[in-house]
Amino acid sequence: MEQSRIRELLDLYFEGQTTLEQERAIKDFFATTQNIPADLAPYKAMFAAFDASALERSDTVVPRVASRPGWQVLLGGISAISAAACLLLALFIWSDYSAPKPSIICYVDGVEITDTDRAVAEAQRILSGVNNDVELAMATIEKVNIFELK
Amino acid sequence: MKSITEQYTELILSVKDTVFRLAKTITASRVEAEDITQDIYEKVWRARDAVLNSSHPRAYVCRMARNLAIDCTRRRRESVEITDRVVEDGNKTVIVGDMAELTKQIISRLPEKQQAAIHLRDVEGYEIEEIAEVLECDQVSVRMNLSRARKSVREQLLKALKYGTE
Repeated sequence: MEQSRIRELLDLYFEGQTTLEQERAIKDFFATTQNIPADLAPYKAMFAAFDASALERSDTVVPRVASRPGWQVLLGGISAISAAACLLLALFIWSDYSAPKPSIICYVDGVEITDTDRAVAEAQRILSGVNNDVELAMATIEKVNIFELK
Repeated sequence: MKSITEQYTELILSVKDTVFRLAKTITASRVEAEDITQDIYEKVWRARDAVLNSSHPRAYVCRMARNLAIDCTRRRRESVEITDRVVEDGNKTVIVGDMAELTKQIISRLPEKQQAAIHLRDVEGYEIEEIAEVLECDQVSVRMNLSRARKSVREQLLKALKYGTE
């Protein structure tokens, strides 16, 4: 690029009126031209400084981030566990109500008896006990009568 | 469509060195610039919705970095007296070969808005519109700050060159 054109662009540059493309042209000129007139020499250093600064890099490491913040992960976990617990409870209650229940035949000493054979056996046991009690009572009455007769 | 995490990581990776360089220009300290860059990762993540939905995400991040760097510089100024650097002392050790380093030093002594403007334009190659968003001012103001910054650098470079060659 001609020096006269560079001088025109530099005037615009110092007024803050150049485009990025024009600024690149100025930088390229100073970066590639060997014999620069003395009055333009300070600008070469200036643009070299800008280029040098642009090469600096940060040593920091970008942290890996979770797709969701910790509290959201925790909340999600708690929600999942709660939902599972509710489901299990619902299944338990449903199975308890839906299972076929045997009919109750009788109660013996407050205990439900649902088996027919056991009910008959319990009835016989109780009647047998009653029979024993009656026999005992009759024997007692007979003894009383004997004493009264004497 | 990219997830928020992917968008965040992509943005941070594209802007981390710019953030570092801008912070270094304003604070004139590599260590502080690294700290600011590290802080930015967390701050951008916290404000990810606002940042990623803004019209210029990288300008948004640079504005955050600039504010952190200004705070950092203010805190330092409160506790440490800043010593003058090279040029205004008429330091005669300045030679032409040091001009690139001297340019950086001159920029670090400019008013903060001019520092950010010249850095974002001449080092990072940002559009005027983006710089306006970073500096929170209009484009005319950006061009004015840019012009003043460039003229100051030129003036002080010529002055240093004159001292160095006498």
